[in-house]
Amino acid sequence: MEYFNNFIIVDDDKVNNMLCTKIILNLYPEATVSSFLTARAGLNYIVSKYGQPGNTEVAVLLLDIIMPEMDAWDFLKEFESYEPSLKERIKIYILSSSVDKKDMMKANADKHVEYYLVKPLTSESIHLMIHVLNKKLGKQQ
Amino acid sequence: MIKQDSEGKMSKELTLRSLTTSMPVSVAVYDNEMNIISASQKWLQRYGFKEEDILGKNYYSLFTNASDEWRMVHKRCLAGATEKNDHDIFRMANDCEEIVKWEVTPWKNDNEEIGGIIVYSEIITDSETVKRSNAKMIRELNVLNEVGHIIFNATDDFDMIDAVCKKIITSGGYQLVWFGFAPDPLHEKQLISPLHKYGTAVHYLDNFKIDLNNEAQSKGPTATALKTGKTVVVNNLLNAPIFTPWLQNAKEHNIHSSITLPISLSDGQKCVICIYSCKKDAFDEQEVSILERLAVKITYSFNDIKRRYDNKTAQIQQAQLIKDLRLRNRSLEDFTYLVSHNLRAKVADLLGVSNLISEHILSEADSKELNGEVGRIAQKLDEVIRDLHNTLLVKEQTPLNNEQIDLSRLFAYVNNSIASLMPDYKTNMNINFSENNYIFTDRYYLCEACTQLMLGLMKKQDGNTSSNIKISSRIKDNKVQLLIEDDHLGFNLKAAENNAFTVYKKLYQHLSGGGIKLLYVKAILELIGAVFYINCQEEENIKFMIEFDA
Repeated sequence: MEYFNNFIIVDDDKVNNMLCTKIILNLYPEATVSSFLTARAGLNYIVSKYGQPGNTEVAVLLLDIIMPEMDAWDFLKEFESYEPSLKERIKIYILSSSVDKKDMMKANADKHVEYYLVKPLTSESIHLMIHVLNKKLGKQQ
Repeated sequence: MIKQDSEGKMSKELTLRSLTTSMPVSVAVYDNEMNIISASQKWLQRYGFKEEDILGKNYYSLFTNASDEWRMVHKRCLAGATEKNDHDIFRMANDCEEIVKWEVTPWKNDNEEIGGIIVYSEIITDSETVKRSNAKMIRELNVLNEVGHIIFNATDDFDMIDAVCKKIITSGGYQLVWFGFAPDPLHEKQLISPLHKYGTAVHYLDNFKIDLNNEAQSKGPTATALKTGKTVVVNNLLNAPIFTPWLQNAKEHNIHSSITLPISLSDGQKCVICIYSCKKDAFDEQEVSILERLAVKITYSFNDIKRRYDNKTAQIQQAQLIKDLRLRNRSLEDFTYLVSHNLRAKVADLLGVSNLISEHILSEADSKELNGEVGRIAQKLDEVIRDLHNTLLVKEQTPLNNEQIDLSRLFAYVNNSIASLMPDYKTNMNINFSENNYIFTDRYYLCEACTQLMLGLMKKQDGNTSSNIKISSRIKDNKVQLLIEDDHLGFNLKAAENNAFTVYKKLYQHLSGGGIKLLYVKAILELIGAVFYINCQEEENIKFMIEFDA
């Protein structure tokens, strides 16, 4: 957990945000977890924090699909327009209650999406996610 | 024996006499006094004379009724003129009219003085009749050909029969034509009136209706043609008892003959074409035959257009059915997706809570917080299931009780219902039904749809507990529209138009019920035959429109 200790949760379901926060903090007590009820608020936070010059931090983003005003697909479309140096530091995981294969396929087809997770988030899945990410990052370095 | 002069030459008079008798045409030679010098055999035969009876006799003593005009011709020619006429009509002794071709020319004697006149004449009545008959046949065949052209290119029966009627008049030379359908035998009133009419005597048809329940009119040509399925020809209306009810009108418009052609269509429908002429005996055997062929062509065209129309209609209906099924399928997919998401989202929350409890990672404060959340999740889950149940109930076939609904009263009732259901919410309903105050539909379902929509608009997720809702109605393009607008800003609906679910979900923030409420309202409105529109644009109020057929 030396690299990924920043977590961003974007979901209009308050209960899910609370559950995710507790699971993450239970596993990684030193982690920073920021949750947002709208996609717009999540994007604003990413730009304001990770878009700052000199910021090299990385973060895991848990993104719900179905949200009012701006859904995950709108979010990803806007995210695509960001600087590559910013994009490569945000690892996006779709976290949705949808078990529709079309959603899964669409998510996996997006180059910015690491993986598709079905709600609820579990300790096992977050542990595995961090393990894989660390391995990838280790290989890159 | 022919006289000869001293040089052995025949005198001119003798030559003429000699030539005349042997001529194969009707020729007579007269002297200056109009005494007959000689006449051809044809001439004698025509007037029934023998040569010895007329030679030396004066023309005017034989033809006492010779016209002044004819006498003047003789006079002018005796003075040296030559006159002729290729087409002169003479009334003969038997009172018959004959068409005569004639030429009168003076002849000169041996002294080069006018000795008299030669009158050549030929009755050409028979050849003229043939010529006229041929012209008539050509005209009729032209009509048939031109009508055939119209029929071949026809795509619409109304236009086809209209063009045929015009062609019958313009090329056929008739006075008037009309076309009409026989009434439905089950209909109480048995009236036939012209659907298409054309011609110079078109005012004959002003207020023209044939009442088949009227005894005299039911024996007329139209009724007879329809009853018997045979052509009815009246070649002299003045003497035709079956034409009595219309005789005075026909006289006023100088109509003398008529033909009524019945047409039976493949679907059993009957119609007639009636053609009128200002001439007596206008419809002889040949003309009737051609017009009957024309009626056959029209029948074929009607049936062909109908067949093509039926095929096209079937194709359109089939395409519409496929489109409806696709939309229905899409709607069901959206519905399933929405239900699945809304149910599973709450179940996932409960599973998440359950995981946390089982992993013993909750503090006391966390447990308290989650207890409250579990109650709220369960409540929302219950709401989703109730909405789902209501929506599924609406999707079942339920008998409708349509009636005239006073919108002012209906919305007063909706307002009271909402006030009692949600006393903490303040709604400012700005109702304006000045343009239209009535809708014909099922009161219960319309009331339920409006109440649910209002409730949805009020129970917003942002926690705001007051709403401004404008409600009005209007009639536009033969539709009754009910317009509902609230003061919340919309979004770019166009960007989401290909995904109905996205629309519902995007409205989620605006409308309570996570989309199912809106589907419920939509399902109710579809049940009562209304169309539900959402007009939503960025930075503008969201407008809902419920549209009924007027």
